Amino acid sequence: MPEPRPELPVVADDVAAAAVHGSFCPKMCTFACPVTAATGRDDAVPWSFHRTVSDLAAGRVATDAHAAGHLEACSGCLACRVPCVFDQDVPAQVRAGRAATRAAGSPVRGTEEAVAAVASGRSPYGADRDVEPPRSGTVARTDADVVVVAGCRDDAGDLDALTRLLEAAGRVPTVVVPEGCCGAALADLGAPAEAAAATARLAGRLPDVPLVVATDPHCLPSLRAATGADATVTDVASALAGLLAEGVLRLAGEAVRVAFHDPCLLARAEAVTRPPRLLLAAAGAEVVEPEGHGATTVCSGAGLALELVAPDDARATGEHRARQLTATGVPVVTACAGARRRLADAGVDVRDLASFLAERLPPEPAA
Amino acid sequence: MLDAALLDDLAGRVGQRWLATDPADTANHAHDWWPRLLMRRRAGEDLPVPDAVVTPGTRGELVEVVRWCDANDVAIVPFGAGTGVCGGAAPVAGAVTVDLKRLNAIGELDEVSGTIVVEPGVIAQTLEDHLAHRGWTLGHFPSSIHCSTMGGFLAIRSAGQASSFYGKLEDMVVALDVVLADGSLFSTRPVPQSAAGPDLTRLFLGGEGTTGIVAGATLRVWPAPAVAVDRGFLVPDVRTGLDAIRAVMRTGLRPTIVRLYDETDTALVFGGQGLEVPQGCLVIIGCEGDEDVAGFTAGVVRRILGEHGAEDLGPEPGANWRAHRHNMSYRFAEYMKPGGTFGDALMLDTMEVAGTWAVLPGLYDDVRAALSEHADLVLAHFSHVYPEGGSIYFTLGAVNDGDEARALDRYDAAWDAGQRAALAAGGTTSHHHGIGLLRAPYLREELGEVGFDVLRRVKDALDPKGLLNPGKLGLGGGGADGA
Repeated sequence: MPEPRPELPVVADDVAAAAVHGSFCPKMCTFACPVTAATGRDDAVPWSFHRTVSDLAAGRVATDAHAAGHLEACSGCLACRVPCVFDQDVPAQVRAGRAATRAAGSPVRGTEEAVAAVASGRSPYGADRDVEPPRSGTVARTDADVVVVAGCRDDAGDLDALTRLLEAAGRVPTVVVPEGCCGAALADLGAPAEAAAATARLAGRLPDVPLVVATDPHCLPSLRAATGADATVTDVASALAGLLAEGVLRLAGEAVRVAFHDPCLLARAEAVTRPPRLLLAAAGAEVVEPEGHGATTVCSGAGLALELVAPDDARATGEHRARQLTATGVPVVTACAGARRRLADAGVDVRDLASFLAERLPPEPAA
Repeated sequence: MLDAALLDDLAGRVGQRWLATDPADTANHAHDWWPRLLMRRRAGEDLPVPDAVVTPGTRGELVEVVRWCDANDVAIVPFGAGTGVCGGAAPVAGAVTVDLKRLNAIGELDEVSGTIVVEPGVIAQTLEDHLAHRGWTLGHFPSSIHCSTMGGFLAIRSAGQASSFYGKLEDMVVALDVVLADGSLFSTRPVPQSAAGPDLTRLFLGGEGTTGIVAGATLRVWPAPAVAVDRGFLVPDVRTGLDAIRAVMRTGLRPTIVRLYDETDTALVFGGQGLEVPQGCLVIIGCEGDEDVAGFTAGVVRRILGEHGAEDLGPEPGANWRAHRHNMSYRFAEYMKPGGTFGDALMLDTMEVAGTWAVLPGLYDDVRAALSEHADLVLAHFSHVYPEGGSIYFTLGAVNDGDEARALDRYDAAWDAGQRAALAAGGTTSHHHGIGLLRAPYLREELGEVGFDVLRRVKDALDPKGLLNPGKLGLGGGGADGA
């Protein structure tokens, strides 16, 4: 083996070892990668990330823009992890590789802009963080028993629908909008220090309540880091399905056929596939399963900051998924703000789960 | 090296984004999955990278690229997923590697005719998932189905694990689209069979990009089977197993899965599950189709195996095989990586040969003996069984205690001995992995002098400048790095 260079980038030993392992795998998970399928990029094949990161760790390639360019085309969807008998975490390796190239002065595209945006209180996607739901009474409540943490890409109407559902079930929600970012997107971009700082800022703003609901599944790891051990951090579908099971959330609606797009991290990292279907069924919806659903759902391109790093590839990935969903011939419901936006941009008739369900709350009895 | 100004001109055909020339950007195309190249990489060698990698996004762009190469006398190395195991996609000095993964559209499923059109960059499992969602199957299940492209499979005449029923991939081709060396597009007519002269499709299947570049194919598909009835048996030895399988195939019925493991492989199968290793050889036979068809076929299989003294092991061996049939491929890295399960410098590969029933027992004995001269472990299973014979899939491994040079020496010696033994025994050197660089030294003997000359003349006629994948199949052109 060649002598390692003295200025080796920092890639944790366990990540580097996993990358070396993967670099000798015959690319077996290629079929699972939605970005590869959508773009045909050879360096979107998960094996390419293994090779690039292992070479970076060993000093076999320079930590320059070329290396950073080969760390773009991953949506972090974990589809490659499903068939892997070694449980390879490709997104973790991509984050480590991005952090290494950034530390050497060659961040992946969009990183510094996102860091600057968050530092000025905007989302990493550049939007102002004034996504308070229309009913400002749900913000900063002191009597809340559930916290809803808004994601970077939330729609105010969807957020409002979620709070109405929680209130209909007898809960007292309050909404927290992070200053800039919960940290997840910055970590995805290879800015771990800034990500940790963002998570710490959020932790300081979270009230001490037993239940924290993330509207965006991508935020779940950061929120778990930001909350105390006593709090339960969960996603929208799981939270609402729990209320449904308790019998405190009642839904009703006319029969309708919809397809459910399983958000990648919800289905694979959180293993949450049944709760949204239970909720849709309770609301009178018959679920038509698209090609790629449940644990083998196909990514819309919303993760690992792909929209910032490689917008053309994110768009192609969304369009690829849109073709599968529109083939069902029915409207689509999903439970990830990022996925909803990507799919809507690709022309899909798509609704957020909370908004869909809120329209099926029984009418309040007359006073 | 290719001239930079020339490459700028090429970039104009596909867009700058899809032309890579920096070594850091072409490194992914420095090797395919030929273990010899992997062993060299593992040893720390910087493998030569292509001078340029171009990735056309449409068939029109592919034609433009090939025309440009023809006009500028630049050689082409077609590249699918880079998972071939014979060096067929290894770069060639001064050539452009043409990555076909962006040509990955799946056309409409014709449920009346039972056909589907695919582009070469479609990953085989993606196609199978697409068909499965619609209640159909291609029936092509090679162990590399998760990672390899249809174009690559067509180029090497691939075979899947269900080949005894569905045939090899070449048997599934209804029509083929090929870009010729001068950039013209040749398409065969999508008809079930034809007597309109020689079958020109076959000029390109197995050509490994030396006679043309596969740009698309119309493939025969089947309604997905309603049931699969799998059963395992234990026979006393390889020859009894071969006799039993041959008898099954002679009935005219077609089981989908037919596998006979030699004693060593049988021990690995049972031992790998933590089970007691039995004396004898494992047979797994799977029958698929409508319930009555599969059930009837399975009944005949059971009767015939019983007549040959086989012990019926029930459905578990088949179920276990289906559940873990890709595991060996996924575990390859665990063995092959630096510091793998068997230490550094492991030599590991597979060699598939084939022969008629009359030849098969001797082919097995001779190739196994030849490989065993140079490998620490040789095991085999028989699969891809046809009415007239079948394939033997050898796995060979050797522990070299960190000595990579010794690993390469043993690798070369084992392959040379095994291939020559296969030829001497009357078999073919390759059943479904192809030739590439690895088997090029043996193709002349396989085809015979006259046969190789026919191939040579076909190549010269179709590619007079010798620009298509030079060096592969032993067909001229230099610079292919197979040393």
